[in-house]
Amino acid sequence: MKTIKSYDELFNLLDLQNSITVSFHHHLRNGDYVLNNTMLKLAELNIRDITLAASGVFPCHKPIVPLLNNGTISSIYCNYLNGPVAKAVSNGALEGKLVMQTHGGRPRSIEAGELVIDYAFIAVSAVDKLGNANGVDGKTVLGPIGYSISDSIYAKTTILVTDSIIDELSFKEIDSKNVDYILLLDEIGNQNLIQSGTTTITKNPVSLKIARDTIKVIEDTGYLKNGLSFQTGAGGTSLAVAKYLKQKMLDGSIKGSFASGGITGYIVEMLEMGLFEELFDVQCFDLDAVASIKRNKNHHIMTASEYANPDANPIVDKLDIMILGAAEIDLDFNVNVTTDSYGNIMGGSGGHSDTAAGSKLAIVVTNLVKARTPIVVDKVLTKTTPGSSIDILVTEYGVAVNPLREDLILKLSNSELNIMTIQELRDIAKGLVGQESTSNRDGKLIGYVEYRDGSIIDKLYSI
Amino acid sequence: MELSQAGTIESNDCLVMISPSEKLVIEIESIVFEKFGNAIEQVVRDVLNEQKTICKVKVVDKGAYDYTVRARVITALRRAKNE
Amino acid sequence: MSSYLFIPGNNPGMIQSAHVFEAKGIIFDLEDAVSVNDKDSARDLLFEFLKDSKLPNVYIRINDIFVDGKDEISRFDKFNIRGYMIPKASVDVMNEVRKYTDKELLPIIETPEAVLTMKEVGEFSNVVGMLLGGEDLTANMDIVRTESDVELKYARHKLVMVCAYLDIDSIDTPYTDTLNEDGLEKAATESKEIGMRARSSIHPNQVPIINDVFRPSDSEIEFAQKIIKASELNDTGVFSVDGKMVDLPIIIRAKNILKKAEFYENN
Repeated sequence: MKTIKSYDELFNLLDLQNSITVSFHHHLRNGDYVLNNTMLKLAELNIRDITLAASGVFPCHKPIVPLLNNGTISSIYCNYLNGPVAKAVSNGALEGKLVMQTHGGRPRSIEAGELVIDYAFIAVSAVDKLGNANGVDGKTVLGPIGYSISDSIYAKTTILVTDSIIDELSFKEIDSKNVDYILLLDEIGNQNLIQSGTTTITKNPVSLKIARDTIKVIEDTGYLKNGLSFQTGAGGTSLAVAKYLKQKMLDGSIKGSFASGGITGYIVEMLEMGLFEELFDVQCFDLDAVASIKRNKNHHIMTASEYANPDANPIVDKLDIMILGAAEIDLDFNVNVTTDSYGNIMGGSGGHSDTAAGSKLAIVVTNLVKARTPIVVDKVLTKTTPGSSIDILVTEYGVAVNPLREDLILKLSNSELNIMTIQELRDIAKGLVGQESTSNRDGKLIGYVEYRDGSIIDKLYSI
Repeated sequence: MELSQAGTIESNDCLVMISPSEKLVIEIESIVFEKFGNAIEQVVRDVLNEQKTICKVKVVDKGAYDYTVRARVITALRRAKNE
Repeated sequence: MSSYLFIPGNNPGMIQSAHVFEAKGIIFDLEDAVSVNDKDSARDLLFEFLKDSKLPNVYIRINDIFVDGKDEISRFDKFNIRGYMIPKASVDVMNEVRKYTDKELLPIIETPEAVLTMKEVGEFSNVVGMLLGGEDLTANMDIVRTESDVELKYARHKLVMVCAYLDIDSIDTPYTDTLNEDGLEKAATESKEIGMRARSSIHPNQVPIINDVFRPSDSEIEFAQKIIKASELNDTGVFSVDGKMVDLPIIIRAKNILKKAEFYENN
């Protein structure tokens, strides 16, 4: 397969039209050059009404904001949206619609032919002479590129974007049979910014208390036992839960079956200490995790589809314990991780809805109130994950169990923990913050929150 | 009355600055202004009414609860009157 | 719950989450943790906070009773607080304090005079515990603090003895290296071994470590239960459990362990 050395050369070969759908993965996180360069080049050619299907959009994607305003990009499909692009969308910059999907729902919709991709631009670390590719062997290391695989198979045209052509890959993630073009550039991204910020355990005493109580929940509900499987996010409190879990497992000589999700060096340590038999990795948050893939044969990579696609017998369905965050959680245990409590888009499900639905014990860990803003509310402003998938809420004031889980209520009835109803937690929050003024929400419809099965779970409005 | 201040701009606190004024002036800057700007202003008014004081009060708020705002206003007022 | 947690009185963020940490007593500090310029802010802040507070275990560390401390007591005494922590306690200081309040008192032993008159200080009615102020005590005597606490040996052991005699809480000096969790665990273990009933904390992250050290372990509880059971079956005054001699004092200690375990479970 011939290597192309510039966007101009590539675009001469493609029959670019208006209203195409182009896709990108987010494994370059905040160090990505590819999405910006590609979209700006397309804008130069006056291609308009593009649907941007990027699995994640970060602050580094600020340069494409003018493309929203001038109609180059009219719609966006993504699983995570943050930074200046999110702000522009919240202010109504898109002519078309924003569709927020989940990590599992995106590959589902691609494989089911609902989200049709004309051009998939897939940044890869290394390409071999035959046109196979992966995310780990080249100059710029991304980690395994699980979020791109469905794109590579189902897109009408697949273009690999890389800065390294090498003789032999250590393993193949993208098969050359799915590749149409290879675009070789000097740089695909900034290695330092690809790692998602230091993944350090919080020292905040309240967060640590919440993490300790979360371990007690896991213990008291009977899930702390041999063969357990576990997943957590990369944030401060989530990592503290992992730390306390590690200690408990060591103290009790407990051996788990697997840990999954976005993998950090900390989870790798747990694998290498024998606390888990396997890891299932959909993205690496740091280079320690990437190095582990090469040296540990029980550190497996998985595609987004294998991870969370509800139609593909995903790993999330085998998961026991899931630790989740929340920007808001309401009296029905619905969780909002898409907007803040004013309606500004500042995130998105990512894998939230998928892991909550699949796991046996889905625990939301959060402060009750943050800087006079209650996290526990009467009704979430935006529904990302339905309450039926959330089992337990742990805050520093107490623990609430979803009434749907009578089995857990029973198991926790003798617990040392402060078990309360979510209404009681809500009342405490209200008492602490005082009288709130209600604000008028009169924004126009700007998009939808699409649940992992393709149904619309909520609408999004401009602020 | 002198210029005075009390409190800090740390999280969950507020900085209250008081200066002499012929008319009652209340300026609020807050990270939660939309939802609690009114509540903060009311707390300031209540203290000024109790102490029958007219002055200018500026509050820079970082998510302080009502009792914290009230305490900082009271301290700033006392400092303004005593110093 | 075996720790008394100091919370700086001028810090709203810390005051509002103080109750979360499962300390036996929360000490809102108006003394050393507040700068001279901000004592008025701290008093106003605590005053407003305590108006609506339902916390059951609040103490206030006042300033010198002969200077501002008496005004502080007058101002706070009507609130629903347990009592006061009294800095630089002495017999004279305690006599003065008792003029202003009937609430519980936690005198701090932090001068050579206090060490020598510990029993007299502790005997005042309403004293529920005494804290060893190791930093001030050694500074007073121009000694450097060591990791092994050798310079505090006499004062610590005496505190344990006096408090045991008076049946009040002996509270060990704070461990000041807040980042050193292993060091704290060792220090708290030593506190427990020499007979201290509690240890003070100067950072919330210290509280769970201290609680875990002082909590009867599962094996301690199990052994205590065995002893009680055996004592119920034995007529003779002395018998053996797992090869260890058991007589009355040991039975009493076993009962206390079970009582403490119950206290931890219910709180």
